[in-house]
Amino acid sequence: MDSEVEYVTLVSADNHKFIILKEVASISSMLKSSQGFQEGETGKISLDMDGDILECIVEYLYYHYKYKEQAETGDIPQFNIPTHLALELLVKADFLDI
Amino acid sequence: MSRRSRTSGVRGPNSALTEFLRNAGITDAFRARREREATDGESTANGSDQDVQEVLEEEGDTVVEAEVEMIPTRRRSSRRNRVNEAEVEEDEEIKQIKIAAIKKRKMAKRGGNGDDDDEFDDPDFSEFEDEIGTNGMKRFGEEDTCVDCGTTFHLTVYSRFLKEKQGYICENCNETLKVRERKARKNQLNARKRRRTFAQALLNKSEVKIPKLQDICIKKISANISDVDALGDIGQVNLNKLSQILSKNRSLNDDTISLFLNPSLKSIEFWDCSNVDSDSYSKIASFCPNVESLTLFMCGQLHNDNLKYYTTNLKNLKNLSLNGPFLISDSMWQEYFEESGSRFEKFEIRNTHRFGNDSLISLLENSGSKLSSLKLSRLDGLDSEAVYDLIPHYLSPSTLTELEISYPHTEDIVTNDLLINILAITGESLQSLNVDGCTSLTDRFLLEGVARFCPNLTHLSMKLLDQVTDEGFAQAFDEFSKVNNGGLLSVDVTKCIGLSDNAIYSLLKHSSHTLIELSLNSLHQVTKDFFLQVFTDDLTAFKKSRLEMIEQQGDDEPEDEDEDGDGDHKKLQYFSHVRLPLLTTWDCGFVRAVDDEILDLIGKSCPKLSILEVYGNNKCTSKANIVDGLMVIGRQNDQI
Repeated sequence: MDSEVEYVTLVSADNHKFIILKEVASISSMLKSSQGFQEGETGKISLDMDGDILECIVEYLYYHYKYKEQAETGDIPQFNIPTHLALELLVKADFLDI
Repeated sequence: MSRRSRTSGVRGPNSALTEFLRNAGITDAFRARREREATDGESTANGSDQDVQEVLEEEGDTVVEAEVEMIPTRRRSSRRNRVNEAEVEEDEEIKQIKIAAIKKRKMAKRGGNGDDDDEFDDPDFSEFEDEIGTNGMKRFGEEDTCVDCGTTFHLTVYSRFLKEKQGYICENCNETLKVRERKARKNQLNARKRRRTFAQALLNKSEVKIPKLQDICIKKISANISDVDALGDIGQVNLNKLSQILSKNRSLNDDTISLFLNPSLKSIEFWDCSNVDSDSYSKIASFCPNVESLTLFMCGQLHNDNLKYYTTNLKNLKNLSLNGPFLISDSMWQEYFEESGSRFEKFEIRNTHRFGNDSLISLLENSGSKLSSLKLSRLDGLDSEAVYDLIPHYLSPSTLTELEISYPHTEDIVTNDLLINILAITGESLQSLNVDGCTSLTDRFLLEGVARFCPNLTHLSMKLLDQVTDEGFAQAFDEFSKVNNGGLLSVDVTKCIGLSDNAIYSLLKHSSHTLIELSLNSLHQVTKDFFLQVFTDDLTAFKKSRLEMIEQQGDDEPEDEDEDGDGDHKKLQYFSHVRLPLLTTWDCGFVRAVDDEILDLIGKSCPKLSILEVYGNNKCTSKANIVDGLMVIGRQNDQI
């Protein structure tokens, strides 16, 4: 919530930590809204998902962040996800609203 | 015979073949030239007419190309003369072309007129010949200077000639050039691909934007759906989305359908069941006994036995929508309605010829009084006017909220009287009315039915009602506005070809503040003047002067025909400005009056408009000024 805190840490259930830009995390409305609470002070958000899932999600968030501007020109690469994670990822993506 | 005479600027009519050949770069230049050479000595006086066209054809290209192409050929030809005697003749031809091209270019520079035949032998020609003889005679193995970087290098067969710089380049420069060219080609491909994505997105009425992770996942899952054993807890919204995508891909089958069935479901929708067989339909009933609402489209394999099974197992079913259940027999329908018809609140059936007169009577008898939604579309088995006429007798007053009677077997079985009778009974509660393709309906249906009995109507669809007239519709909506205060949310008057300016004006006047969806497809009588006025502010000079003109006209010959002081419709009319603050989707395809100017005005008066279809309006071009957020679909320049 402070402008000086630029990064947040996403922590997976198996304790993998991903330190990402706050702006990037804000792409997910769920992560954005959680900033107002305790997570806002510690800068840590614990998520109930495995490391590999969270990695995919972080990748997507950065993909979204990077290509947001270019999306209108239609010139962006595809985002690929591993097939075996698709289902689980769908559930989590639904949860994070991304 | 000289080519000079061709600059007369005359070009005769072209056949399609000539046009094609020209586009493909095929001309009769060689033949003509040979001929010319053959007769060159004999006659120089007459310009041949066939050549006139040829020159004009070439002119556009050669002016540009001649400069870059003449020299390589010159060198090459001299080289080849040495190397390969067999090609000499061909090279001669090429040389001739080039010579002609140069001459033409020079001609064009001079203004290209007033040249006479003798000029063919003018100094230009000999100059050119001299050039060939003296210049650019570098042979392979000799040293040359790179025209790009200036270094000296050995000329080889592989050395590359740069047309625009008129010289050879060294190996290094060639490499960089190759890379650059490859990039350019790649860019071109990408641009093409991008255009394609855009055009595709336009067709899907969606914008090109970053896909949601959920959509990426769903796409992945649907691509690998055969490997999925169970979907788990992915949320009902995603389940529905997935099932819709599978339906769209036609990959909903006996295996995949079971992924969507679970006992807690109250509502099931499958939009394309064409690959689902009879056993799976039974599975729906046995896996999901609590279902209250069942929608099965394209359910061609739904069998009598399935329906029988539903009778006993789906005890809570209240809403049933079926599209294409043509295996269910007339007698089975009756049996089914007798057993479980009393529970129905909503019933929809489309596209089956086996749903006959007796089936409908049975439905009405058993559930008619409770129905809140009745949709009957394309039922060719229902061929009796008398049976349709029974509908109003079974409906309870003011219970029906949705009614669709569309595309009846023959035109005359759905009449004005039928609709008026139905609306008289249940019009008060009706929110959605669809009478697409009931072509025998006329102004009376609107005037005495809709305008009188439907205070709460929000959706009106009346495609193909070609008997409805402009005046009738206008009058009906003026009266309707006294009954219905809310306004309509969606209106579809596709191909009601009788409608024109007045009708649309009174529609917009009544519902402009509420309209979200509008289709005026194929209303070819609507004029540009109407659009211009309706979407221009009343305070502009254009509108004021129009008003004055009409007042003057009114003084001269008083008109009593229209309301609002509008003039006679054959003369000038005045339409006040209409804003459509909520309109999001508008189909005005084949309303030919819509052009770039109107598109601009529409954008300004409809701030929420996101999809505008203009198929067939060939005056809508890429030059139109379109506001941000508005997607205009169907212009000729939108190409894949």
